[in-house]
Amino acid sequence: MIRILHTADIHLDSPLRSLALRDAALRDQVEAATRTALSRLIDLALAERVAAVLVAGDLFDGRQRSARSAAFLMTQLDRLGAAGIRLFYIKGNHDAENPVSGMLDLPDNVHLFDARGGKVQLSDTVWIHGVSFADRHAPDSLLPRFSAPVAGAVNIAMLHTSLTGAPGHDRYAPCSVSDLAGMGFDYWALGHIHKRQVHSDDPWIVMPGCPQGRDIGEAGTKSASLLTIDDGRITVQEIPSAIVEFAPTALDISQVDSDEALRAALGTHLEAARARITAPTAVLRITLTGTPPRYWQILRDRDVWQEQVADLARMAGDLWIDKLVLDLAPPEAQVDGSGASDELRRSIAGIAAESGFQAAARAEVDALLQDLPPALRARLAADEDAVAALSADLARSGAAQVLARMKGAEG
Amino acid sequence: MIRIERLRLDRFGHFTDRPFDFGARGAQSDFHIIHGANEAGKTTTMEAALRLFYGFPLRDGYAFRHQRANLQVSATLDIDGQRRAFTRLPRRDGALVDGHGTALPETTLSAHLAGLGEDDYRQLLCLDDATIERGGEEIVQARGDIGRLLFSAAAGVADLSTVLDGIRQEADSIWKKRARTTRLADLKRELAEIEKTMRDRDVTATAWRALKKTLAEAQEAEGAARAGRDALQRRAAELAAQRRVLPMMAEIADLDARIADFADFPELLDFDPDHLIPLQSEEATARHDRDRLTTDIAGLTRARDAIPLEPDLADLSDQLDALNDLATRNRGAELDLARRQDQLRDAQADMARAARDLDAPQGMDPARLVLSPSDLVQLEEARETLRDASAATAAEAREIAALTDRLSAAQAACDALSPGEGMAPKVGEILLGHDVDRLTPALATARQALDTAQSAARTALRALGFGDVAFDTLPRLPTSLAKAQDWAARHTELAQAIAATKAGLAQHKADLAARRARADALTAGHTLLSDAEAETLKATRDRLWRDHQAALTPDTAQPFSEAMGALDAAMAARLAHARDLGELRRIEQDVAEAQARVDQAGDQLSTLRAELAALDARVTTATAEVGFRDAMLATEWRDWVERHAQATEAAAHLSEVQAAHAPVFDRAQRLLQHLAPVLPLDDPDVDSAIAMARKLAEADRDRDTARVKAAQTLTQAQADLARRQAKHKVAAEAEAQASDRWQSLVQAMLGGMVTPETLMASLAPLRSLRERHEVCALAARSVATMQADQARFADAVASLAAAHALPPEDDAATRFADLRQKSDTATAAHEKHAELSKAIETATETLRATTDRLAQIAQDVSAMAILFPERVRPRDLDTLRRATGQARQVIADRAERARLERAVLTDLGVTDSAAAGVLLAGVTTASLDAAHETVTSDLAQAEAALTRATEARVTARDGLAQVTGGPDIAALSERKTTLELQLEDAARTYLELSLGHRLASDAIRRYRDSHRSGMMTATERCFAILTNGAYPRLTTQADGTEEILLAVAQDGATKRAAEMSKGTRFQLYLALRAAAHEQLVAQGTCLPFFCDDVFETFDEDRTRAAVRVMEEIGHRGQAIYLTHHRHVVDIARAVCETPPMVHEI
Repeated sequence: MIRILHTADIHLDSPLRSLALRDAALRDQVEAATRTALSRLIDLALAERVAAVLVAGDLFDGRQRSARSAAFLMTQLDRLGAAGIRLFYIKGNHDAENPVSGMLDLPDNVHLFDARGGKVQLSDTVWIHGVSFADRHAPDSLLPRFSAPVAGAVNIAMLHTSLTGAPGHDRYAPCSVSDLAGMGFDYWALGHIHKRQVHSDDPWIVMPGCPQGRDIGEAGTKSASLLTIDDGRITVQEIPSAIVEFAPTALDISQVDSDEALRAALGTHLEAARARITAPTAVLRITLTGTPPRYWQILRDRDVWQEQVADLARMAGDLWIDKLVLDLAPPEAQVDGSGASDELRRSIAGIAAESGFQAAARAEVDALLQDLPPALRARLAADEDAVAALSADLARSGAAQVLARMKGAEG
Repeated sequence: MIRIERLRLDRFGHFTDRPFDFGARGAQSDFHIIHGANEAGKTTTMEAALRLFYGFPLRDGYAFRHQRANLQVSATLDIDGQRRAFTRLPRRDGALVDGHGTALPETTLSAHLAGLGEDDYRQLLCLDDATIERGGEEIVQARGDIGRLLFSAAAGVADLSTVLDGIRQEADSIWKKRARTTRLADLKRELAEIEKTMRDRDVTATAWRALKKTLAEAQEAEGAARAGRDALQRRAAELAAQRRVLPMMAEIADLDARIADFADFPELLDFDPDHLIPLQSEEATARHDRDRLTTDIAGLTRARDAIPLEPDLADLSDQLDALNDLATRNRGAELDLARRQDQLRDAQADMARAARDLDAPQGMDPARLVLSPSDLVQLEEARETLRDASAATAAEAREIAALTDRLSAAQAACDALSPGEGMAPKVGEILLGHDVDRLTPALATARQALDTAQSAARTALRALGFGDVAFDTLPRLPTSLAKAQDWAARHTELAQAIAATKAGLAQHKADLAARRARADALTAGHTLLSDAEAETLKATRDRLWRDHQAALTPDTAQPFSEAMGALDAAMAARLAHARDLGELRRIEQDVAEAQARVDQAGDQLSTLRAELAALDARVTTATAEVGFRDAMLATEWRDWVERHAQATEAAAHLSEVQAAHAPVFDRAQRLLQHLAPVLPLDDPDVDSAIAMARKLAEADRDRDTARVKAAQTLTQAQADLARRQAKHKVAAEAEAQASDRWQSLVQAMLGGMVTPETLMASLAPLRSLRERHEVCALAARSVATMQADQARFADAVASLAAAHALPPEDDAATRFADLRQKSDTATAAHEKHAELSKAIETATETLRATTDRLAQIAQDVSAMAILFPERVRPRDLDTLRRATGQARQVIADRAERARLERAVLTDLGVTDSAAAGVLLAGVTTASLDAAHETVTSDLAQAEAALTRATEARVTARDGLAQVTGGPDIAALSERKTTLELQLEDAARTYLELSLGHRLASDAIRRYRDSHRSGMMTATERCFAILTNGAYPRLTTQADGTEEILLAVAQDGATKRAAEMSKGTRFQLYLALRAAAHEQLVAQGTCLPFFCDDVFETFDEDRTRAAVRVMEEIGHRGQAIYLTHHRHVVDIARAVCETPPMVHEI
């Protein structure tokens, strides 16, 4: 019986992206989380005495090109080498893009498959096959580069692919699950998609996901796969790997009619979230929805609630708040009033729709964007349409905020 | 529409079953006042109504008497004309029930609340003093901006500007163009710093590759340099070895020559050659000892045999030792016997002298007078007691004499101070009888008070003088003070009114002239058709139309058409100049108004002047009655009347003071009458009489004191004398007893041989007798003992002499010495004989051991000699030593040769001497030195090259080692990402606030434009009421995109709202809120309006006006005013057309 650890998309030293990291206490806990995740996987490999570790691409991140990342990686590879554990590695699109990956003096226990593909015998009965990306783009399928499985042995194939495509991921090395199933390999060690998915168990086609999510877009439990090969049969076990988990949650507060009730509801919600999350630390993005009776007050006190939620989160146990999103609407009874405030709200809505205001708003947005670093400018609004959309969106939320402050000025 | 008919606080606050009946809605104002003391529960009532409408909060501040679960409020409401009962309960479900307890849906009530949430209701329909204050402040904050003010009032947002300006400030604090202290600027700076740090600290992939390449090259270069250096070092070592072995080879050859003749010598000596020298020395010593011992033994034997021996005399020594002590005492007696006998005689002579000194009878034995020491002590004590008693008696006698003298003196002093006659007791009694110590300060106080009052009265009278008229007494007052004050106030008012009216008249005249000028200017061009002309044209047209309508002929048509055309042209012209026309109309209206104001001001001025003249006449009449000839102003008259009042008061005060202090002055006068006859003064006043009386009384007191003191001294002296005489008697008795004891002791101890008087002078002779008597006894005992010792010694010596056949001799001591000498000589001969015998025995033993050692040495020499070849074999120690030395040299040479051979082979790295010879064939020291110089030079260069290469390699290695896997760059990258997110967040927040602010500001301006007319009219009306007509109109003034609210005063002057006094701003805000309420009602929202003591800061006039506003609000809907001020209730009842319904708590 031998064991093999399968992971991918480590994106070493890629930073976490969350406003929650403004808090130094959280930073101290989760700093360089991708490193910690890799270290923990190596710890696991040593503890389980695995025969090999498979890294199915994107060990590096495309943008992080510090030699220090390579130096850190070498120390981890040396740990494996000292224990006699081999590591098999194929380059993904980010590795191909990153010059550091090409400059590694890999130790003897590491085998890097090149773009032509190849196979290596791990033991009497196990062979590892793999094909690396030659370039950052791989528009065509890489399956033809795999040699045929070795007869009478367990054959494991490593491939970095978007399969037939996934939301949020570019199309790389396209192929279908059925294509893979038809290749005759016993286990497909895939990489590229950051969300874990087991596509098939006969043969095994496993996308392990990234071991550490980096922002709210990479939410959920993150893990690696531990293979056990016994008498030619493969079993797969999911191993949690993240030190911090990102989790978006939503709470409908339509029935919440007081601040105390809202605090209580948030407390309960956060405790439930804590119970669900397996990682030691979690960063939450909480979206409050519904039509609460105290709509205006909650909107007005957005900053206060942001702080309170952060406090409640910490009380629930190592939970941190990325953002408190107020996706709320006033109750039906408050929408069509005839008072001055209602009239003002309708008037604001009308002005916001006028071209004169929109032009002035775009000009204001443009003026601010010009004062931001270029990279940030592009991220906020990449083109004219985006500027228009951004200004409309912010004008809408800004008007609601101002109205809320007026409404609640004495509340 | 909702109206509260009945409200019942079933359980709320501190109320239980407290009803309020507001009655049914009538035709009159629906204005209610809830009145009660502070903390009575007014606000509680308002809160109860709000609970009914909106329910109980989770934590209700009014759940202090009744628990929250038990709170309950009920009401009967008039909803759109229908009467319905509701009860509010603190439940989550079924919180609203009807009169029968049936649960009602919340919409039953909320549907009629016009969509107002509880907070909205509080903002719009609950007014308190804090809101009014914030509203007044808002007028300043908004800088009078009409848009903000109208919206602020209509929406109930009292601090609208605080909100809007706060948002603007918050936005500006996040970002402002070119500002350096905004949040965005801070974040950008922080981001730039982090990026710079990353650039400084990070190692890029390219740099890393270069570092690795440099290290590889440096390692290779270092390896090559090291190999070259090592080769040169090896060559240098070879040359050095050859240089070393060349002299060794020569030494080997020399050694071979030296050992060639000793090949048969042993390879090794199995004994220590160094041992031969002490062995040789030992042999010589043994031979010498053997000869010396033989000679010594013969000599000793001869000497011993020559000594004679006497055993008897040798034994005498012990007997003589036994007589040693006796011999010593005998010698002492011979020396001391005569001196002891002299001592005995001297002592006996001293005793005889002492007896004579004591006047003892002639011939008696002095030893009879010797007393024991205890007897002597008794005699001494008795004598001392007698002497002390005699001295005490004498001292007491001296004291009695001194006391007798003191008594005589005291008696004389007492006799001298006999009691005299005087006035003093009488004076002292008078002073005491009138309690002069209290009278004096009271008299001073009375005099001071009287002086002050008199001075004040005089000053007040002087102040009444006016012109040339002065007063000695208070004149009569013709008018009252109140009337004088009234005249003065009225005079001031009239003067001010006249001045103001004059100014107003001038202003009105100027306005009139200006408006006429503007009207003339407008009509000067004659382009405007007046209304009358237009009416004429219109009448002509109508007339011609009627003619034409009747005839319908071309003749009638033409004039009609012309008239029509003329009218159209005129109307067109008027239309074209409509603006001027309107202006002209307005100016004409203003001219008429201004003329009216001028006329009115003129009339008013005349009236005021007439009234002023009448007032002055009344004042003049009053001053004449007092006696003044000069005219006075009304204010002067008022001041004079006030001074008259002060003078009246001063006079009254003087009378009071005189009355109050009259008893004191009376007491002083009575005292003077009693003292005057007994004092040596002519017609004294009170103060001098009291002073003299006190002095006399003081002298009498001093005399009495001296007399008492002299009597006390006499009495004390008499007592002291009596006590001393008693003591003298006791002392005399003690002296007699001591004398008796002394006489009897002397008689008892000495039996009349010595008299007490002799002994009284001195006891020394008795003590001398005692001491000399002891000396006599001691000397007699010594003489006897010495004579006995001499006799025993002589007998013993004679006995010994006879035993050894020696003749007796007179001097025993001489014989004893002779015997001692003979005995000592015989003992010495015996001891010498034994000593020589022992020495002979020891020498004989030593001689035998020496002979044995010589034999052993000869045997050892033979054993060592056997190692040597026969041809040179030694026979004795000397030859053995020589042969051994030769052998040792041969062995050493052989070892040296072997060492040199090993060194040569090792240095040259060869295995045998032959190979070494081949290697060194032809090699010379000179050739080796030359080669060594060359190699040394090459080696230095190689070393330097290696050092450089090593340095380069270490530098390259260190450079690469700097690239550690530390997380600092990863952490910085993460921080940078977070900062970018913060920047993005700040940018979004800024835009939200800024765009929201822009939208709200625009919307508020539009609100202003659409509500200006209606709300302004209502506000104007209300403000005019509240200010009692001081500001009858409100208008606006453009200021950029804003419009500023102006209040127009009665006289046409304008004032910016923001510049009004605080109280007026409160009134303006109240007017705005009343207008907002009117608008709310007009929009169909008619709900109870609560005011919680908002008039607290209003004066009475403002309160009158404010309750009228509440009454007006009551005309539109239910108005409930909560107050704890009774005067507000009274004012409301007085000023309201329909008195409000008052509910007392």
